[in-house]
Amino acid sequence: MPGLRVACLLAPRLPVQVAQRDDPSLHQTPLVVGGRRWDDGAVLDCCPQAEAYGVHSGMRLARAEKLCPTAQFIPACETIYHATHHALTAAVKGLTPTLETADLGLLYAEVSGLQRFGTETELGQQIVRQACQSSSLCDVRIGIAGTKFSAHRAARAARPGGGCVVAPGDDRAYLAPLSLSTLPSDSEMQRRLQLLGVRTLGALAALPRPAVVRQFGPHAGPLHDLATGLDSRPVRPNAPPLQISRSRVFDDPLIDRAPLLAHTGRMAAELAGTLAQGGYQAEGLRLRLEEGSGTLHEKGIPVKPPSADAVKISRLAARLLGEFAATEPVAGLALTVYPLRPFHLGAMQLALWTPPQEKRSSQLRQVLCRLRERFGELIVVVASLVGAPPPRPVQVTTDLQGMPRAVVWRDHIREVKLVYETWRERRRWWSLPVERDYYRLETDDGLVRVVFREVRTDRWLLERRHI
Amino acid sequence: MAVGTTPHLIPWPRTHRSPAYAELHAHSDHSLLDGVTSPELLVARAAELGIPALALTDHDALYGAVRFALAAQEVGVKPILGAELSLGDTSSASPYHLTLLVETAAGYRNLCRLITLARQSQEKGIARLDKRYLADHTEGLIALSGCRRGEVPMLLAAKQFDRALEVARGYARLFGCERFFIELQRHHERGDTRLMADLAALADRAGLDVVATSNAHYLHPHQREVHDVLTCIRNHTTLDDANGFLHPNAEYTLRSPREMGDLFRPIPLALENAYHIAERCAPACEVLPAGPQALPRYPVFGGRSAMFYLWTLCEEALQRRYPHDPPRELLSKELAVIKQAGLADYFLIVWDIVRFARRSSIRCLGRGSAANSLVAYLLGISPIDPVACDLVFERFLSKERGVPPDIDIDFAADRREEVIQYVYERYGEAHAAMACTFVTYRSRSAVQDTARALGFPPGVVERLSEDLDVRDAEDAARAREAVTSLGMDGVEKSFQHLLRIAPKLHGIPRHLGIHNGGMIISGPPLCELVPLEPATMPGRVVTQWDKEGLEGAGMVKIDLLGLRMLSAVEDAVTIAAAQTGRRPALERLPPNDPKVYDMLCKGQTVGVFQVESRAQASLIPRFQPRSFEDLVLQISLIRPGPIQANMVHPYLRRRKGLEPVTYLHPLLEDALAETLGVIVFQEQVLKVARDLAGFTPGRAELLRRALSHKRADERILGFREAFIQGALSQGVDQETAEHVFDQLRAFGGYAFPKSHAAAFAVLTYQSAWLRQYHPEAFFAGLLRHQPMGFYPAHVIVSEARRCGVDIHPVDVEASDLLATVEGRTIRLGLAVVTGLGEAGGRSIVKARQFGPFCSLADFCRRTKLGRRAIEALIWAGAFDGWDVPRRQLVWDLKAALDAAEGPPALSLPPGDEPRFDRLSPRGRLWAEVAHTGMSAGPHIIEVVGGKLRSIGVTPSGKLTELRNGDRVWVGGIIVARQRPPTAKGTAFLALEDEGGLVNVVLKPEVYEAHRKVLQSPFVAVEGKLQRRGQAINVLARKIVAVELRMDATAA
Repeated sequence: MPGLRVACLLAPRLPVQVAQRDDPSLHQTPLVVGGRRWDDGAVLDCCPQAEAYGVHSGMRLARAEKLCPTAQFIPACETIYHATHHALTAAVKGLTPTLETADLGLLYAEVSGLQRFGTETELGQQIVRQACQSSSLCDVRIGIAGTKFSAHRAARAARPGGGCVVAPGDDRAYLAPLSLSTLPSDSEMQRRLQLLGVRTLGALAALPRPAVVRQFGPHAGPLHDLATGLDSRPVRPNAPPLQISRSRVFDDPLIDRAPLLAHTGRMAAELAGTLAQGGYQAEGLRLRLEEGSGTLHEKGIPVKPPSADAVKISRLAARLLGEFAATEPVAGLALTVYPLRPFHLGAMQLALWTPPQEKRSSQLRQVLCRLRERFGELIVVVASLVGAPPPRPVQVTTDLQGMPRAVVWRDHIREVKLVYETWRERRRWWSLPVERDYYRLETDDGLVRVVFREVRTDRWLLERRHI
Repeated sequence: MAVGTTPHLIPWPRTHRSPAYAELHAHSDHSLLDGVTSPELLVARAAELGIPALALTDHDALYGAVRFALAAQEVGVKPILGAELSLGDTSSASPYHLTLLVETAAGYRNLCRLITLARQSQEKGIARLDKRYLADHTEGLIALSGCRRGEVPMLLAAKQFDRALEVARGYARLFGCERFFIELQRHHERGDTRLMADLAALADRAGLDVVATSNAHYLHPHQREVHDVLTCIRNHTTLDDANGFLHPNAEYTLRSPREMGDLFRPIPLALENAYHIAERCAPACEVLPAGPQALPRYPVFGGRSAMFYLWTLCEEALQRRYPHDPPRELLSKELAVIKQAGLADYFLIVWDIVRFARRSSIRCLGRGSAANSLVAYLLGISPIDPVACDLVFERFLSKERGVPPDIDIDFAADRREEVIQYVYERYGEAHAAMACTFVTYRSRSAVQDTARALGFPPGVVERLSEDLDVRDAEDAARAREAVTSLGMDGVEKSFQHLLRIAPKLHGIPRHLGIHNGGMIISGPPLCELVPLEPATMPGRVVTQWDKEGLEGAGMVKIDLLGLRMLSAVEDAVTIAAAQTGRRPALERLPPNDPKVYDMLCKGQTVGVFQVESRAQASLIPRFQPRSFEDLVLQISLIRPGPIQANMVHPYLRRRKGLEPVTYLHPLLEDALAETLGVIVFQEQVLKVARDLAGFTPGRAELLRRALSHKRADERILGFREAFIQGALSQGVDQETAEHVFDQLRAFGGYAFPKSHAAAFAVLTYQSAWLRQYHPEAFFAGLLRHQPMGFYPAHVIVSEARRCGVDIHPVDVEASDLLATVEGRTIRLGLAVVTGLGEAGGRSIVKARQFGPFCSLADFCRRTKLGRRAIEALIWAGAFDGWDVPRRQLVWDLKAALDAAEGPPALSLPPGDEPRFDRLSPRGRLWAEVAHTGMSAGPHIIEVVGGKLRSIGVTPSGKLTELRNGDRVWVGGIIVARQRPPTAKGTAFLALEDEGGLVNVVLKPEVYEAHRKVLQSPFVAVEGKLQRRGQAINVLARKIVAVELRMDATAA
């Protein structure tokens, strides 16, 4: 589009920058964001020092730990990243309304006709200054060019806190010496171009477009265009937000699962409404749970296929809630959905299940749906939410051999008439050892009870049945 | 069984405190991840508890039967063989267990058959016996209804009493009421009481007897945690997630009769029955094979005996091989021992196998202790004349040796399978199987699996298994610090568990492997002697006993091993025959060709069998071998035994006359004269023991075996006293006797037997001869069978070039699958192209039969190769003959592949196709190296030649001009890195440049300081030149990596 000018505001490695901003001592060591070193997750981001060891985002944390054992590993904190991203957005919003959030720390703005703010260089300086102030990040950069791709590359090439302006009409020349790896092409195309000695965007641009399309397929055409400085993607001010959240804080922390489930369901319904209103679809869901003591638990789940369906989102949220093994009352809940980004459009989910499993899974889903329709959402819950009631302490008198002789139950002494069976359990020696001697006995009231002695504490307890 | 007498049940003291009881259900660690203790510890504990008889009932196996029987004999416990069999068809997810005990020898045969049937046509490690097979194999077996996973208990647990009754009656019909018992167990588990009551009621209704067992999986309650960890490993889970798999308590111990008496007080009959069943069962030593298995009868003309035929063959060969002064006395002695051991058929079978190999032009070489035997020499099994080499027959076979002989034969590796198939065909698949090996836990695997079971994250598991040696306190402390620093919840506790449990896994068998080449052949079906099971390799069956097990049972095996050098030599001979029109007769070469020794003495040994390593190549110029005997010694000197006993340098000094030849005692002169007073060969241990301490040959052999045993210190205790006493009685003073014994101990038996070295030396000489007289055939032969030997293929190529042999690159129009010789030139084979594969290479050769390729599209159409394979060929330079730039070909490949897939295109080629230039010479070199691992053109070092020159590196060819002690820079590509355990931390590098190889010695501190640099392919080393005769080393002081982008497209 002739005359179009696009600014790209970039805060590279936003999670790392945020972590270093909040704890300056982290500047001294290699840093990996995404989880603790023993967690079973992936690297979200890492600093250049860690990168020098071969760590990169998406890598397993365990592998990153092996490559860079001296690195600091810190968990990700999305809330702070989004707050920082909003601060960046605010810095540009005052200047131009045509603003697109492409990713965390990556914004595009249309800056055509903003001469009132001075030259493009001055405009860029002003934006970066404001962004740095509002976000308190050290490394915010700007690139201004004729296309989004050129502007992005220019922003990447700029110094921290600085900018790079590509003069109108110079996009192709600017891109020409850049490495081929800057092109968002698949690895196979990159490999074959490397084999052909095509290592820069300029070298790719020099190849005839039809020949490139014949060689690599139709998807190579737009990539060739990018290399020649052509990018037809407009700045989309109405791009879906990165996330939408709802939260609840409970003045009186809740211990019972039922109201928690109800709150989760309502939040899910609200979020589904918002998604539907914007025409978005959620591709992921995250539930955060805060215990009365302040301990935070977070769990996420993908929404496959992406959906704005309230029932589906409620069900997934309920499943997330079911996965928590909260031992304390819950003081707060937050549910976040992640709308599908344009980047993902056209992406395809590969089959993960073999047909029979898929069939079983789908049958199970259908049965659950029917049950929920019939009995209600709160009645049909996943089994993990329901457990046996905990055993209750009970007084037991024993004979010389240690066999129960009488049980004191609700202030009544019940004489043991018969011990049907005894058994021993010695479990979980590796964590919290369970050492119990069980007795199934009949008392003089005619009831058969199971009592057990905790060997370690010498306490007697009455086993209660499932309700 | 080979040894021992039958232990009988001890008369039982009938007191109320300890009832008559024998244990009929116990698992050892040979239940593979479902048992904790070894068979030896199991019987030791049984003896300690006063159990008079013990049955070993591992899962679907008799893996530990021999060890169990031998150990039980020592402690006086009656060993009963049995197994816990898994029943069910393949569709049943969870099999039923049934305990089977061997009552008679027929029962043992049936049990072996049943286990074999349960294992056959199942995946490795899985057993499932279809119940209908039971019917024909119940004779001599006693069956117990099994543990909680038995069919009857499971039906009772499912509250199907009538069905359980029906099933129990069914078993009773199969085995007979007197040989089927309802098994009662009490482990203080929930439901035990009910189950026992139901089982007792069922037994009563069915008219069956009950029997009590403890189903022991470990000896003591504290071992339960090891069992839990093993259970997790078996089920690929962690302790936290293994709830359904773990026993709920620690009650699966081996119980004493008194404990069992308390547990089964209401049913004392169950204990008495256990005792009576044990009385009925034959002890293991009565049912296990004792001595060599009945071998297939070798068909002898005229119904003569095998012994007679063997004698005839030997006699014929004796006259042929020893026309003057035949060693008839030695032959008679050997034949007498063979006759007494009943091994005539064994020798004839081996002779037949070797004869088949020779007939089929499969090169073979008998080696090892068999070369001590004159009979083996006369039969052509071994190439070594034991009389000429003064070898000791007792090292191979003697009355006292106590173990059956085994004969090792190397075959050309690429054709060994033909030999194995011949054995299967000749003797039948039911009569031949390979020996198994038990892969046991070592420090690293124990830490890895335990950490995994304890739930350590994968990254931590990996690091712990790499870094942590649980037996090393410092190591453990370091690891503890590292793990604790992670800050994980409960990590300290888990780490303590790891430190405690991992060492307990040490030595526990994890899974089964397949022996390198050990083959067992028998006359009757082998599955009646030992259970068989499938190995991972398709179509391969292994015995359930390993080498020690087979030896313990006295069974003989034949080692049919593969040796790539034999394949290379055979190919070289074939190529040389094609070139010259005359096939070199390697078997009849004069053994003292001076040109061959001249070549070896110059250290030109790359590719020569056994003497190409850097240690050998450094030694050989100092040793200066000039005869076959020298070669035997040369091979034997670089072994851990002579090195650790500091025998190498004294020998060299004495050989050169720099120090006098002395003996610690005159009695040793006879034994050590040939090696100038030092011990080099294993046989010399025998001779020293015989001459100095008066040991019989058999006892001396036992001493040698004890010296080389992994627990040598405890094994030689008994020998030391006897040795010293024997020496004293021969007039040797105490100090000398102790000194000699200590020398033998340092020697440790880690040396070649002379017979083995001599057999190897034959191949060394043959390969050296080929290198000297037919270098192109020799190097082509080596290239055809890579990987082999000490060096990568590119070193072979460089060495060939240094020997004046030209190398031509891979060419789709000219190359065969493997390297070929064109005049004085070697043409690399298509197989060297990475990513092409053997099938791809064959498809090119096959397609070429119909004429040369017209175009890339024609090539694609006729070969049906994929893009990656053709790209690899292009980059390897296989299309360079077409004179089209490689990049152009890569670009054109898309259109060619499209054209090959569809009908011929009608449209004209588009006119806007880009044109690509040729690669630079450096780019071509890298592309070739990256895709073939070698260069047919310039040496690989060329890519960093400029950098090396700028550092001031001296080429290897010019090192001879420098003086000892000069400071020097050398550089090149690292072709070998070695850090032998005998070198006490010193490491050795071999660098190669255009001129040849350079040896670099790294002291431990230098090695540690440059550990990372040594991972680079190219290095430059600064150090001090060391000259010892013609051998040149560089003692490294500083090493720098010569950086290079390993990217073929960079050029």
